[in-house]
Amino acid sequence: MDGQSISKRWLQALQRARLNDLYPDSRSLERYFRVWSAGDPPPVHPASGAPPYTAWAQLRAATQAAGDGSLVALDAMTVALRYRRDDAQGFRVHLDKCALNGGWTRTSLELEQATEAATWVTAEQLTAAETPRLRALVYRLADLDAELTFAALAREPGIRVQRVTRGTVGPAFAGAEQAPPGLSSSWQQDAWVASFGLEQVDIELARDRDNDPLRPWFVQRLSAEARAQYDQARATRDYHVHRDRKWVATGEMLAPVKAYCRASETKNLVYPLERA
Amino acid sequence: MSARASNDVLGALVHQFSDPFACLREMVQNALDAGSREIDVDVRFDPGAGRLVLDVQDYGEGMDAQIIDTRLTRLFSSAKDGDLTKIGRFGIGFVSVFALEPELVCVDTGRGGEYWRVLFQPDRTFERLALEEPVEGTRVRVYKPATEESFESFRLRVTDVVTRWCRFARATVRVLGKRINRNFHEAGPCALSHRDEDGHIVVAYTTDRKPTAGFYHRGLTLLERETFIDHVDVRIESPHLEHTLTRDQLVQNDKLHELLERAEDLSAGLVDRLHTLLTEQPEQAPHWLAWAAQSCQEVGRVPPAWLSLPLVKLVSDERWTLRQLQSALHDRSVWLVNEPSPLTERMEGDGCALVVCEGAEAQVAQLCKLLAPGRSVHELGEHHGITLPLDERRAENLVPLVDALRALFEAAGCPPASVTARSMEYPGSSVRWEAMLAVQDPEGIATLPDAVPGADRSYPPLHWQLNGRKRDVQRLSKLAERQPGLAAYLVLKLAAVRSWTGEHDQLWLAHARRVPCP
Repeated sequence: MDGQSISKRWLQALQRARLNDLYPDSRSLERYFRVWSAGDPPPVHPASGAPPYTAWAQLRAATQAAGDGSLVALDAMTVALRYRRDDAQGFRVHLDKCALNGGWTRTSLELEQATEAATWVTAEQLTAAETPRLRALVYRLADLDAELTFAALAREPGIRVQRVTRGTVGPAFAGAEQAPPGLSSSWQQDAWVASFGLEQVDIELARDRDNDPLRPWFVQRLSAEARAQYDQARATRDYHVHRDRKWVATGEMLAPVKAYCRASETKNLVYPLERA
Repeated sequence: MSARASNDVLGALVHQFSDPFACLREMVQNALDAGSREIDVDVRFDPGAGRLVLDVQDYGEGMDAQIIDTRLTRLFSSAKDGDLTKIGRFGIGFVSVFALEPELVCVDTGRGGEYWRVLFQPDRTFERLALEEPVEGTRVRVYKPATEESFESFRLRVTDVVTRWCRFARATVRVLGKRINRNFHEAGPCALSHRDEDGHIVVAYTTDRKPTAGFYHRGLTLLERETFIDHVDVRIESPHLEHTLTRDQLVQNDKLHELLERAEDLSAGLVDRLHTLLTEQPEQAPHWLAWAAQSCQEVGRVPPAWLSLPLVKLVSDERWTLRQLQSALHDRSVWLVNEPSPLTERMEGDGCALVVCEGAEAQVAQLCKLLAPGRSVHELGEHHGITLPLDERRAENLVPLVDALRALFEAAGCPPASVTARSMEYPGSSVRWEAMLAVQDPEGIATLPDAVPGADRSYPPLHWQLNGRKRDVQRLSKLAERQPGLAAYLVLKLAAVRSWTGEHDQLWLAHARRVPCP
C-alpha cells in the first residue's frame, strides 16, 4: 500500500478514533495527513505504520518555508496550574512528541510540587510554566512507557507524582508481515488496521487492569535492562496500572480484530474505518 | 438534616436554573472536563412508546465505580472542586438533568477497564450495573414521555440551548449530527483579538446581526447581553470569569472590570482595521456602508472617527469617505441606487452623485439625514426608468403594431407626440414589466407611476413607448399583422393590467372604454 493511501487511511482513522485529551491532538495530526493525502506520498516506517519523524519534520519545514504555519511542532509541552495550597501546588503537564519511527505520544502528568521546593514549575495567578529542569526530565522520560515514567518521577525530590498517562497514536498495520502474530494469520488483502494505546498509572486506581492485546507483543521486545527497571519499579510501588487499546480497522478486518482481542482476553473498542 | 429538608434542598438544586434545558450546558461542561474533544447531542422520538430520548455522548474519560458512588450520585462532591483546569465547580451539574422531569435516566460510562450502567429513577434513586462490553466516555440518555408535538418543540429547544451555551466550545459539539460550534477568534473580517494569560478578547464590527457582549469560560457561554461598546461585538474568554450558582450573572471582581476596560481599548483600533479592510477590498464598501448606516441609526449619531472611512462607492467607481458624502449632500444632487445600470449611467452624465447601496437605500437615506440634517437625498428605486433603442429586426417586426396604436390614439381623439417601440430590458430595470410608458421627454427619465399612461394625462400629446422586448407585446405584434386594431386595443389593456394602483386601474379602464373597440 503506497504512502498516499496510507495517509488517507490515517486521516480517516484519526477522525473515527474519537481520541480524547489523553492522546495527541488528532486535529493537528490530521492536517499533516491531509497534505500528504493530496501531495507527495511520504515513506512509511514499519514499526509505527506512519511516516517516520524525518517525513513529519520535512513537511513542516516545507510548509513553513511557504509561509504556512498551520502544522504543529513535532514536540510541544504545556503546563497548567490545577490547584494552589499554602504548602503545595498541583500541575498538569502535557508533552506531545513524535518518535523517530513517526508514532505520536502524549504524556500527561499530574504532579504536586512542594511550595518551598518550586524548582519544577513556576506559577503565577492562574498560569504556570515548566522550568528547564522539568522540561529536560519529561523529554527524557517521554520515550519510556507510563509506568517507568511514573517510577522515575517518583524518585525525584520536591515533587509528588499522582498520575501519569500515555496516549499513543499507532502502531498501524498495512500487511500481515507487520501485524502481531494473532492478527497476521487472519489478514485480508488491502486491509489496514490502526491502534491507539492508552496507559494510565495512577495512585487512585483500585487495581491493575491490562486490556491491551498488544502488550505481550511489546513486552517480548523489551530489553533485559528495561525488564529490570519494571521489576524495580513494581517492587516499591503505590500505584496501579491500566492499559487499554482501541482500534480502527477496514471493514474486512473488524471481525478478525475482535477475534484477536477475544483470544487475548481483552475487550476493546473497534471502530470501522469507513463511515456506515 | 431531615429527609424532607434534604429533599427540599435537592428539589431546589434540580430546579436551580431558570431554564430546565440548562442541564445541557452542564452535561457539555462535564464532557469537556472529562477531556472529550467531541460531543454528540441527539434527540429521538419513539411514537410507539410515546416517549423521547435525549442522548448526550462524550468520548472523554468516563467514570469508574468509585467516581459514580462518590461523585456522580452525591451533591457538592465534585472531584473538580478546586481544579483550575476544569470548568465545573459546584458538583451539582448532573443532578440538573432531573429538571427535565424524566421517567428514567441511563448513564453508560467506563474508566480504568470498568464499564457501568447507572439507572436513575425519577426520585433520583439509582442502581449501578456492570456492563460486559466496553463503552467509550460517558453517554447520558434521558427518557421522557412525549407526544409528537412536544417532541418537536423539545428538539428545537435542545438545538437552541446547546447552540447558545456552547457556540465557542473548544471541543466539536454536534447537535442532531450537525456541528454547532465555531472558533472563538472567528468574528468576521473586521475583528481584533488580544490574548494573554488573563484571557482572550475579540472585538469586531459585525454586519450580520446586532452586536452583543459575550463572556465565556473555556469556550462555554457564561453570559451574553447587549454590547457595552457602541457598534462593537465583544467576546471575552477568561479563566477569571465565573458565573453565579444560578448561572444568570457574572461574579463581579476586579479582573472582570479590567477585562472590560481592555476590550474597550482594543475596540478603539477597529476604525483603522475597517479602513485597511476597505482599502484592500473596496468592493466591500456598500456592504459596510449598509452596516454603518444601520449602526448609526441605532444610536442616532455618526461617530466622528467614521467620517474618514471610505465607505461610499459611487456608480463611477469613485470612492468617497463619509465626510465627502456629507459635503456632497450640501452642494450636489445625491441619489441612492441599488446597483449601476444604464439608467444610473445616464444620470451620472447629468452631474448627479450616485451612491451604490446594494439594497440598503432606506438605511443609507437615514444615514444621510444624520450627516446633513435637512438636506434631501433621492432614492432611485423602482420608481425610475429609461428606455433604450430596440434592435432593428425587432423594431421592424413591431411596425404594424406601432402604426395600429397610433391610429387607435388618433381615432380616440388623443393624437400622440410619437409612438415608438423601445427596449426596457437592461440590468436593474424597473420598467421591464411595463407594456407601455407615456413620457413627455422620450430621452428623459420616466418616473413611475406617472409614466404609466392614464386617461387624464392624454394631453398635451405624449410620447408613447412600447416595450418591444416584452413577450406579450411580441405576440400581439403577430396579431397586428392580421387584426391591427384588436392588437393595439389589447396592448392598451395589457398596459392597464400592469398599472400600479387601483386608482390607475380605474383610470385605465375609463381610458379603455373611450377607445372604440374594433
